[in-house]
Amino acid sequence: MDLKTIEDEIYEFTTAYFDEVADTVEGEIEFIENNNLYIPKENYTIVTDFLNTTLINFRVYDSKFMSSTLDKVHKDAKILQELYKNLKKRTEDIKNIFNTYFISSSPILTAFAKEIIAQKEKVEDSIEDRKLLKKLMLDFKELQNIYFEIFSEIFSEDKTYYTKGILEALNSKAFYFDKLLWKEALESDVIKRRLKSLISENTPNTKNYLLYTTGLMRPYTKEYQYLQSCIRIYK
Amino acid sequence: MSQTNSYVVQDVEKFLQINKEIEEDEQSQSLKKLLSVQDKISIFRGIEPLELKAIVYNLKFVKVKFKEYVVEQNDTSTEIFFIIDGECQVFHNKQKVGTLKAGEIFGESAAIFKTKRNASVVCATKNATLLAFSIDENNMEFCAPALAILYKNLALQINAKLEEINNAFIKK
Repeated sequence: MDLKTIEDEIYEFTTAYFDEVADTVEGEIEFIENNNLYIPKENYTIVTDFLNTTLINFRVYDSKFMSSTLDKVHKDAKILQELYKNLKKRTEDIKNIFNTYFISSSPILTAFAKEIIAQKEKVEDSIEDRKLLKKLMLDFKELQNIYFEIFSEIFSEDKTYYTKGILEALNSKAFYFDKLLWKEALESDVIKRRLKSLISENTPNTKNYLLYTTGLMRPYTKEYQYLQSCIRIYK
Repeated sequence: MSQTNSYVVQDVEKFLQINKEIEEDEQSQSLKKLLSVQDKISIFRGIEPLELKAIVYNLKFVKVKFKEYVVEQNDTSTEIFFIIDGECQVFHNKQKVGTLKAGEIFGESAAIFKTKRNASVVCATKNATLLAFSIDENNMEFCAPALAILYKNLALQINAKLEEINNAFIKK
């Protein structure tokens, strides 16, 4: 058996394992590239929760607020956020993924395991049989180690690639969500009036809304610290 | 199949309009100033301007008058200062320990290591203009290379200061 066979088996597994996230990430990146959309260097992904809350507030002020584009961006940001959380969870423990999911999907390893079981079940319990069983088990362990080394490398590469892709897609989506949210908010007289009473002479945008919100909060709480870190995105 | 929505032409047009507005949006004066002096600030050398823009926040011009304190010893503030014009003097336990001129920076240790200010800095000319800013060290997802360069530059700077102290000690 050569390395190529092992690699092919692993690639087949990782392709299926990352199938769901791959489709979304590739679709998103293609959409960003084809339309020259912006992937900011600032981490807008952290502000998504605050933007979601702001959107809900605006909908309370003005029930007609939100275009279909804003609705899509908002929903997509939520989907990507969820996908990111799941990806993180599903890729946390590589050893466990290898033991629980990969081994049973590998034709070579399962065939080997079956051979060991068959050898164990042999009625004759001669010294030769026991020696052969011991040798088989050692070989199996060694093969598993070889597999895991390659698996770990390929899986980690894929994990990094999709994590980066999903974060970039989410960051871009969160960025447009932010800009579109305020652009549309300022087109609503009701929201504009409401904002004027809240953040008076300052330009209505996420930064000033965050400053207004944190100004009302008790400092040094977890929530306050979170919102403070969101403010850092905006210059 | 992709879980996210497919967008129609009108949606994309809205995104492109946002792109246009960003391009037209004048960068704040202080950010422009920071980017124009980037190479003069040793800890920012070699950092991509876009990434630098993403890791700095709280940018502002600070104007101080003669004898006015910029930072006070044991203060917990975390801004870094770049002297645009004027001169400042450095005091440790009320003893003058140095002078800072236009083009020099200070306050980086407290900013990076989150320690109290180890000296006071006072304006030593009629007026001084400084650029103050903070570093967002949490943006590892999108600016890891910039932060790595920043820390490398900082290590070089600390090493240079240590060598300077060693040489002065040997000469004595």
